[in-house]
Amino acid sequence: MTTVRYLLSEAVDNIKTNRTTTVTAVITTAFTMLGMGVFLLLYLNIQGVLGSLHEEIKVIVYFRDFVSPQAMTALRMKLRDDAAVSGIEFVTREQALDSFRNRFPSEERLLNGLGENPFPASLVLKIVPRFRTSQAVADLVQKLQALPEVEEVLYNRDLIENLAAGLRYLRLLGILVGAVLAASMVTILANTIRLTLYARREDIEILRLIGATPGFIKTPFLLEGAVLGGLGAAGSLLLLRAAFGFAETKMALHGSFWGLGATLSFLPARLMAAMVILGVMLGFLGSIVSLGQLRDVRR
Amino acid sequence: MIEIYHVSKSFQGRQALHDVNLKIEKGEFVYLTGASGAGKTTLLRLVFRAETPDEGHILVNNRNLSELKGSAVPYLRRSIGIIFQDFRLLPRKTVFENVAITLKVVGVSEGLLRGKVFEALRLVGLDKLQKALPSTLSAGEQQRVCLARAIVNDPLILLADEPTSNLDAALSTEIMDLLKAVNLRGTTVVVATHNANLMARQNRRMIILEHGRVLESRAGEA
Repeated sequence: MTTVRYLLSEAVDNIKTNRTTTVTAVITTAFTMLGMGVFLLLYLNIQGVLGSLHEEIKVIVYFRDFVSPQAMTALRMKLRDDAAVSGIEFVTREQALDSFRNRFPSEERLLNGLGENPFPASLVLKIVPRFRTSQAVADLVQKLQALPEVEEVLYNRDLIENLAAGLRYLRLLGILVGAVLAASMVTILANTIRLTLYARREDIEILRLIGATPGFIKTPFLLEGAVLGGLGAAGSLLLLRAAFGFAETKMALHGSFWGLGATLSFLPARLMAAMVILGVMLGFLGSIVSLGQLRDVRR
Repeated sequence: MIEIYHVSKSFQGRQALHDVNLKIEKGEFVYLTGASGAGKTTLLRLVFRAETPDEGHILVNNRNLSELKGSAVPYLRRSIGIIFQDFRLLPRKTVFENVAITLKVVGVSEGLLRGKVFEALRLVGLDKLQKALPSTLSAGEQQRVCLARAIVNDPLILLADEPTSNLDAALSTEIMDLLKAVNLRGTTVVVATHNANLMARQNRRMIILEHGRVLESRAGEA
């Protein structure tokens, strides 16, 4: 217990001793992690927006003219059991005609010229989220097209593929940006710890000579790195929250985002906790990098 | 307690020690003397494994230091108290904390630690200055803190490298009296010094080094 208390107090002492360096490191770390936070926030909100667009993914199955109502009902029942289908809306020929008239009232005369209702009955299928990939939807469409009752199957293929590609690139960009910023943060904290080590090189030498193990000597510096990383991460979250609040109020971004219907949201609690833990871990890593280069401690 | 066999050591081509053979028994009080650059400090540094010999080997308490793994070095040092010419105190720590650090390194409990630190400080006459910072102490007081730090863990061996070189005659005598008191408790004491007056006042075994060789090993009477 004495040792644990001593090591903790040494870490605090290190932080107090190099106050200017510490404050600079925490601020720099906070801004570095703010970059990560901004990207994460954008990613989550864009993902939310794209997620709402996913709701638009629908497959429309048009029946052939000769298909009886019983056969249509049978197909509806069959598709209801399909794992990829989450909902089915049946549109009769009359409903399709009414819908056309409502949407395009100026084209009424076209319909009058045709004499009879040209619209086929159809099923509008909603797709289960995990089947909203271009491959899964294409498989479903292929299966439906092979059915004798089906005239044609339509779906918004481009939307599905563009959404998938967009999310993929966004995720990749996120990983790249995160890796670069994490490396920067480790470098910043490693340099801070290096300065502390330099300032305390005499103390380290004394500890070595009185029989301190490398673990005993290193631990306060590892803790210092972890504390700095954690403080930097917490600072970045405060900055991010303030910036988010400012954006919400001053830029009038309440509610829908670019008209796409998704609600803007801040990072959830578990992600904020994860960011602080990440800060602690990166700080710890920065200390390890510095200590690894210090010959005195290892001897 | 300390056995040195055919030990040689050089630094960047300059021979610091050459074929040194020595044996220091348990409980002995030994002066290691010679001119500056004779190899006194190097010899002490070899004993607490701050350096390793180029040739030969050293046994400390029957442990061959050449065969000692790096991870075992801290444990060797815990059995050796070291007093430095330049005190080497932790400047931001109080007198109490400077002495207590030796026990904290070992993981001694808080209660036992307080008792032992107080005892060591009382022995060196600094029990009233526990809360003082090293920068507020005189050279003699700083050297006594260094001594308290070296003995608080009841080491088997006490190595003192020029412990009086920064002190006047009266303070030097005071420190030497303390070293004698420590020796009387059974600790083997090796004092590296070139202070002839100091050695003349105390008739102890004297090992004379010259240009890295043992010139003479003279037995004392005390």
